[in-house]
Amino acid sequence: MRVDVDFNERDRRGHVVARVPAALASQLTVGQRVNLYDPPERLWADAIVARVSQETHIAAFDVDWHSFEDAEVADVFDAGAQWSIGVPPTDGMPRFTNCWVSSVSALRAVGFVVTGAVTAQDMQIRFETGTGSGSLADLGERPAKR
Amino acid sequence: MSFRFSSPGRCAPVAGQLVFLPPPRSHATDYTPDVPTDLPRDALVVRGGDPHDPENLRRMMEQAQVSFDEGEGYVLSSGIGCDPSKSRAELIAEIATVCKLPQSRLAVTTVGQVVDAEVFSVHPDGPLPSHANIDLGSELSEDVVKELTGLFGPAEDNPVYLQFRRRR
Repeated sequence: MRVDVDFNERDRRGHVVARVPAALASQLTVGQRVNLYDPPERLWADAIVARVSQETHIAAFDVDWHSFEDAEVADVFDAGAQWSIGVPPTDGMPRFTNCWVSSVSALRAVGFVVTGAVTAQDMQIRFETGTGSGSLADLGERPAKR
Repeated sequence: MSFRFSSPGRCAPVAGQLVFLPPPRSHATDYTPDVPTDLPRDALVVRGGDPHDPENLRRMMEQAQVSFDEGEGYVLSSGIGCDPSKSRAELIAEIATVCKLPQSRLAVTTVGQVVDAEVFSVHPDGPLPSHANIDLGSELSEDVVKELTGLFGPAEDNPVYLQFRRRR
């Protein structure tokens, strides 16, 4: 589960503290493992929920200070709607040295089938080559947004 | 409000003035560290990331409100340290290590600059280097947060950020 934080902000026990959306707070329990994300820094870390208040929606997280990962967050534009996709690091996940940003419509134009599922917890985007003959190279290279 | 005096402080021997600060606010924890109440003006105040990033203004406002709701007053976190035997770069590295600043960049100011604004006060959690709360005063506004961020120098590379990265 992704929780957005500012890694600067600590309580006096050294826990990272943040107010989380009400819908998210209701799903957090003490001891639960979560992925913390600092959007401006593009920085992920593993953490455990140390406390959470269902009244104030303020949660504190015990961070694994040796688990930080720099990870890109790509913006995908589709028919005017903008989606921000966060990819939490997981063990065994390949580290991409290059990545590109494209639009869903451009992917479809070269034959990719793009499907998505969005829940309150996460978002899954699936890219398949489908029956088209195109490749990602047809999209041209564009540097990923930072 | 801040008070200044010229007698040696906890972090002596530092050339220059020391800043006497009011005791930190009481808080609802059983943590009672050895909190220094006088800080050298030369002590470095370090914050991870780039406080000048416009994206951070809203976040800092929200975080100050979170601290208020937690009973700490309108405060923002920082790392603070002072060691006359170390170079500026060495001290920044020590603060970032001890205070666990994993961001690839950080920004730096001094206690003297912060308290000279006559709006803010600095409250370390314990002996330096230490996490410290910067108290924004009794009223929270964008202007106050902007005034604080304006005291920090431009973002610079964090010399120790790699020590926080996952090893593969």
